[in-house]
Amino acid sequence: MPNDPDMNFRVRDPVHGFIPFGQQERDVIATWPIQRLRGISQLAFTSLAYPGATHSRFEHALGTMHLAGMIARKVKLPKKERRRIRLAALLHDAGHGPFSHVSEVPMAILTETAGLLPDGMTTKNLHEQVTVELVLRDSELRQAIPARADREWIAQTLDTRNEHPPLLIGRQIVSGAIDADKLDYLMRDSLMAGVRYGIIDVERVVDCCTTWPGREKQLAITHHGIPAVDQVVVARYHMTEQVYRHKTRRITDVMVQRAAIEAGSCGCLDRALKEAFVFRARSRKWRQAFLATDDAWLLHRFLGQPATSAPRKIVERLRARRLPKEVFGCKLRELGVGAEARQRLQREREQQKDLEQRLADLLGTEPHLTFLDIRSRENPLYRSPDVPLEKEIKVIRSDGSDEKLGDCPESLCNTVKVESEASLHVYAPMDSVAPQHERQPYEDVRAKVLDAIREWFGGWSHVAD
Amino acid sequence: MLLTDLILAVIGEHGSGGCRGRTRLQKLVYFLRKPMGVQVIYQPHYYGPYSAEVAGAVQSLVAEGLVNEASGPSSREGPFERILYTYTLECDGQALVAAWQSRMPHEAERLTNVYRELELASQGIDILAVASKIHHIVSRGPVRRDELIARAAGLGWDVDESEKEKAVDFLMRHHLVKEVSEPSC
Repeated sequence: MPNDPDMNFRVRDPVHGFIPFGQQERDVIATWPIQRLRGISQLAFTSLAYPGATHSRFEHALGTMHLAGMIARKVKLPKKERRRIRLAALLHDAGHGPFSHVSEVPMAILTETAGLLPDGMTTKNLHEQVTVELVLRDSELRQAIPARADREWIAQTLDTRNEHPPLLIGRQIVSGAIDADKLDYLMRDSLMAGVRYGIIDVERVVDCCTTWPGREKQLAITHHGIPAVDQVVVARYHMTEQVYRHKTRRITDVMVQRAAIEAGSCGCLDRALKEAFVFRARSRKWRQAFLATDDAWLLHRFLGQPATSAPRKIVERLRARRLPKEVFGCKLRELGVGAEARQRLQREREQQKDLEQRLADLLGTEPHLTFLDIRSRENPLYRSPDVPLEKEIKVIRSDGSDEKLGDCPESLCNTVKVESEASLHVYAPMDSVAPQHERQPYEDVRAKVLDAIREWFGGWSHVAD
Repeated sequence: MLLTDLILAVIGEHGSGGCRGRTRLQKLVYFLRKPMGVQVIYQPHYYGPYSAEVAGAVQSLVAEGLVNEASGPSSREGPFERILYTYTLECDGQALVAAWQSRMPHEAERLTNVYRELELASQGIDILAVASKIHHIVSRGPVRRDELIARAAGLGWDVDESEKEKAVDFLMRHHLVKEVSEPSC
């Protein structure tokens, strides 16, 4: 927004060039909840596979604010709402814990174990709830955004549990099918990882943003934007497959989550970690504890554990990039066991632990370094992670008629069909099994693991087919 | 109860003919989510309250071989359901529903009762679609009966007078909304 007289400041960004911002945004950027994001890596341990991907949530927050403002301006929203949308975009990830989404799983488990999980809160939306809590109650943010109406507007927009956002299009711009968040992270993650899958024509996407008629405006695109939006959908697909779901990323995520869960279950969870990871709405003590966390803080907590503790052993391996290998992987259905047994394994952590112990016995590995990873509902064509993108994007034709992107004959979304199906993966530290040059072909190990899994399921004769 | 269990159970209630229409499935889950204690978010969408979570969960159930999705041309006119999707349970899906019913007999009975009431009262898809729009509007806060059509229009939804009346009757009969008289000055 180079001509906007209120944008007195600017910062240079590797993706967008100069990002201009105003005084209030400057005040918000200066608060600790936003500055803290410099220490939260955007892609957790993806840098172990793509060394350049060390960027943080901080620059993503700035980029998202910038793009949200561009879209809001394009659809001619009033100045007051543009300002609020930019602030909401700037703050949208403030609630991320260490290593971004990775810490949401242990936070949800530990909060649930403490009986404090609020209604409707899941691992999918936990960071949103934390964000809402910070927006409404953090003292620095309250000073930077003094109008209570503004803070409530932003909180309601970011809280996707709220079925009645104050301005529907505002939520769609920040967190919708084609939103500023997605546009920024695709470009930024692609650039920093050094891959070319996330290159999109963002100017064209923004230029084609329009509104679907109705007094409460909804975001749509003109039919001229179909190729550019198709590109976004395809970029999301390839980025998911090649970067976000890279096998190294998967195992490192599982390792961090396991370290935190083990710390919780073995009773060696230190006080600071417990205070930060057990979400407590309206608690100042919890907010202070949470805001003290970032990636380095979490690693430090684990490394401060006794040398023989599981969390420390896991994290030492992570630091040295001595990662377990995938020794087995298949679709859950291919195991040939009953649907209820499959679902129980997917849902119940105790069942997973039991199977992990069985596999550790088989492989002669330590149980806390033997990981079961069950992936479900991860269609990369979906929005985060289980919403089909093409069903949510409305295309407006020049004659005023409209249709969903997925129904447009000229859209590639009609041709890309990807099934999402739950799968099971087993990781184990193969270096403890044999040195690399002496390692048996994985097929031998795979066959043994498959037999052991089937045998383990066989113990459930009442539910197996 | 999990969302996926609710979707499987709702499809199961339709029997061998299956649940005809994505919109119908969306609206049934909309009305059953509260009685069944399922946390799922609906937001105003182009043609009524819509849950992306439900859409995603249905696709996952299809992909996992628990639900069969068949599509064919719709005989309906208008903007809805130009392609009609019909959902039926696969054998694995039936087994899961049966297991849930035996594990949670009271919940299963409640679901059947509420489903039957909805089915009996709705006599088709239209009343559910309009009723969900009205319900969504009223759940935001008190609204005068004569303001409902304008509020719906504000969200881009077309509702006419007779549809509105039928929908309000439906919602009141099922205690989903209540009417209170305004105090006179």
